[in-house]
Order: sequence, then C-alpha cells, then structure tokens
Amino acid sequence: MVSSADFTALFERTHVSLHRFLYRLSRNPADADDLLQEAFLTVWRKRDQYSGRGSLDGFLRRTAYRVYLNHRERRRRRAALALRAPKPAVETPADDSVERHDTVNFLFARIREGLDALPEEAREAFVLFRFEGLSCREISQLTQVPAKTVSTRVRRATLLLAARLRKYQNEMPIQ
Amino acid sequence: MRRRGERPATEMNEESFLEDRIRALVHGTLSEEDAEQLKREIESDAEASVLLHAYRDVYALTAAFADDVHPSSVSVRDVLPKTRIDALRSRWRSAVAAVLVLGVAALAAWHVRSPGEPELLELAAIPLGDLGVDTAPRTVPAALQWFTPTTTDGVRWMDSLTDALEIAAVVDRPVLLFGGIRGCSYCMWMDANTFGSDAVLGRFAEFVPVRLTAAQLRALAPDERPEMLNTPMREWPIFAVMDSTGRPIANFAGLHSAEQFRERLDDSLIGVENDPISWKTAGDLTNRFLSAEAARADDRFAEAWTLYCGLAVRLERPFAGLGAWGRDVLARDARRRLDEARAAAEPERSRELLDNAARAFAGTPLGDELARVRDSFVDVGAFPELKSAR
Repeated sequence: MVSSADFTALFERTHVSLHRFLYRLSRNPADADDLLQEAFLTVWRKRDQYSGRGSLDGFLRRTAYRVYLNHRERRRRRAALALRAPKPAVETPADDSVERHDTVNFLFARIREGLDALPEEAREAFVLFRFEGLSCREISQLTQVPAKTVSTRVRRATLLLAARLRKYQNEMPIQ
Repeated sequence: MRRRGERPATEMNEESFLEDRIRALVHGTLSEEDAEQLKREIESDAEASVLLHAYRDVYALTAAFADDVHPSSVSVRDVLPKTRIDALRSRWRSAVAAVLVLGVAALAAWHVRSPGEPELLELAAIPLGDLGVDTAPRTVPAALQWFTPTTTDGVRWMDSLTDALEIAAVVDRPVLLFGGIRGCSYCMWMDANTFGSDAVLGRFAEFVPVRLTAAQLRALAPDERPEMLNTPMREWPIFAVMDSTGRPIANFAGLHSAEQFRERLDDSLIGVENDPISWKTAGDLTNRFLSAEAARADDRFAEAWTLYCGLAVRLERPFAGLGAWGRDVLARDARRRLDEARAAAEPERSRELLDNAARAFAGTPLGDELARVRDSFVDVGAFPELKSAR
C-alpha cells in the first residue's frame, strides 16, 4: 500500500530519471511529460496492488514501461490511419561543414537520426542498455522479452549505430 | 558515485551476456581479472572483437548525448489533483456499481421467490447418474513432503523397500537398492569415497535410494529380492535398480569408484522411459494433497475442494489423478446428502437436511447447487426436477 506521503516522496525522488527514461523511449519531450503523469497516476490507482515486495521504484518503472508500450501502440494505430499525412520536415543541415559551436547540436542530431533509423525493438533495447544502464537480463525482466533476444537486439543496434556514426568521430566535442 | 550506463564490477557474473561484459570493460568497471579473461576471449573471437570496437565507438560518440537531459515540466502538483479527481470518479463508479448490483439482486430474489411450477434445475457439479461403486481410497507417501535423495550430508538412503517403491511410483523414478553386510569394507570405502563424489550425488536425483542390511534382504520374498541373491554368486555390496513395480532394470555388485559407479547408474537409465517430477514439486503437491485430505476429514469442504481442484489441473499425472479423485469423493458425498433429503418423509426434515448440506459445502459449486435445490424446494414445496449439465 502506497500512502500519499510515500507517493509524493516517490515522485520527488524519481520523476527526473523517469522522465529521461520515457523521453529516450518516446523521443519527444511533450510525450514524455504526458507519459510521466500517466505513469504516476497509474501507480496511484494501483497503489493497493503494491504488496511491498520488490522496490517501489521497480514497480514504477515497470508501470512506466507499460504506459509507454500503450502509447507506442496508439501512435502506430494513428500512423496507420494517417498514411497520407505529409511527413514532418527533418531538420538536417545543408552539409556537414558546420561551425564548431554547433558541433554538439550537430552530433546530437546525427545520434537521434541514427537511433530513429534503428528497428523499433532494437532501439528500445539499446536505449535501455546504453542510457539507462540496464543489463540484458534486467531489460528482459522489464520488457518480458527473452534475455537472449535482448542481447541480440543490443548487439545489432550497437553495430548499426557504430557503422552509421563512425564518420562523425572528428566532430566529437572536446570532453 | 556510479554514472548512468555504468555497472559495478561486482554485478558482472557468469550469467552476464557478452554485451554486458563488453560494456563493463569499456566503462572500466570490470575487475582486473575479469577484464584480462574477457580480453583473451575477444582475441580468439572475431565477432566479439567487432562488437567491442563498435561499442567503444558508440560509447565515445554518445557520451555527451547520454548526459543531455530534457527537464520535465511536470511537478507533483500536476499529478496529485488528478489523483483526487480519479478517486472521486472511482467513488462514483463504486456507487453506480452498488446500485446496479442491488437492483439485479432484488430482481433475482423476486424471481426466485415467486411461486410457480416446479423448476427444472441443471446441476453440473453434483453427479446425478448412477454413482456405481466408490473407488478405493487413494493416498501418497507422506515422506514425499520432505524427501530428497541427497542432502548436504550426502545420500539420504531410505530403509524400507516398500516405502521406496511407493515413492518411486509417484515421482516416476527407478529405485536404487544398496545391500550390504555388517563389516563390509567395500561398503565403508564407497560410503567414504564414492557416495561423497559430486558427480555421483548429482545422479542420485534420478533414483529413489534405499539401503537394506543382509537380514532385511533375506526377509524379502524371493521374487522381491535382487536377482543376485537368488544365485550362488555373492559379492558385497550389491546394487539393484528396479522400476516402481519391482521389475529389475540392472544388477551389479562389488567395489566401485565414483567414476565407475556413475557409469553404472548412467547405463541403468538407458532405456528407462519416464517423466519424472522434480523432488520439490513432488513435495509441494504431496503437501497440498495431504492438506486437502485433512480438510475433508475435518469437514472443511470448501478448503478441500479448492485444494483438490488445484491438483486436478496439474500436468503431473499422479497428482492430477489424486485431485480428480478427491473432487469426485466430495461430489459423491454431496449427492448422497441430496438423496437423503429427497428420501426424507417430512418436508421439514428434507429442508433441514438440504440446509445442513448447503451449509457444509458452502463456498464450493456443490454448496451453490445444494442451495439452489433448497431454495426451489422452499418456494415450490416440492423438489425441483433435476437435470445433469455435465
């Protein structure tokens, strides 16, 4: 059972990292905001179902992932209904010779493009692996996909992304 | 402080996938020993080498991107009001549901209580046909609740062939009989060396081990004894592998090293077609069946019914059979009580018997059906016509 005080503390402790988690998956800050609210609201509705076994953070993360899956399904259906809708313009610079102060934005745009170009399942597995720091087994538990499949997806995404991004190594910002 | 995307070396174990280990290597969180081992593996595995270079490149390229955070515009104040609205909606929903349930219940009560023609009731749980003869009581060895062939101290030998055969029949494994005489030095050597070996102990899970003395062996009927005891050959210790009916599968005797004994056990399993239940599952299901039996004996029929039904749908055949049998015993009991009520001369007595039966089986489909019969009997003043819905 999650009390109101527990819930507020949970929100304060986790909303930043959970928003980042949902943003990485949904690729849209506004969607991530909506999903974040929905995830917390779902946890609140299901607070009676939380038995105290396992961490509350884990319960929240699993809930957030399910909320994201529902969102992804809705988005797919909308996309299927709007086949004729014009594609949004992709923000791509005219060429790669950008000014140095734009290097970071340029590189980030290429990484986003690279991630977007990955197969959906491989992208999700890679995002959870690389940016959320989850192991293949933890991803497997979260997504209910066999760990071996997760490992294959992570490997595939890594190889595809490396092949696509290597040419931008010279554009890397100085750390 | 652990950075995002990094995992401590202590979390790396044999179960980690290559991707996990390569990430730990690139992030520098792998222990020196594990790192050296992984590097050696990568040197001999071209695919792993490609993955290492790819992850190293991707890691470097996405390092700044990983820290690029889009701040959330959502605060707890955006969420909490929604929870209150949600709670309000939930209360409204509950109130509407309660009104609907009460309405349906009132309608049902009016329908049930309205006098009319004798009802035709379909019963699914209580058998209405000829009950035939009761099947013999069935049971399962109570020792199965805790029994495993090995413990941390070594082999757990049973001391009764009858008990071992009973257990073997349930867990679908052969019995391994060990026969020895007092002062048998080979037996003592094998106790100290052969049966302590991990390789041998691992094989014991496939058998029900039983150890008998020469006197116990002599007390067995000739057709129950290991074949070697019925021949002039004598060498101790003797071993006999037999199925749960006592049919011999293999016989051997004498001193065996761990490796020799393991091979003997493996050979004896060739051709054995079985579908063994894990010892833990067997223990758990035995416990459930015995609990069901205790509940039935104590007239806690709802509890017994739930336990029997749970067993009846199991894939482990002996326990599924026990569950179905227990459920059948309860159903027959309910039917007998129904018959007794129908045979009573006085309506008051019939009603009392139906009341008692419905109360005894409350919480089971049998109780629900008995209550339906009672309600119909009370409303119409005569027993309803019963039809089997099975």
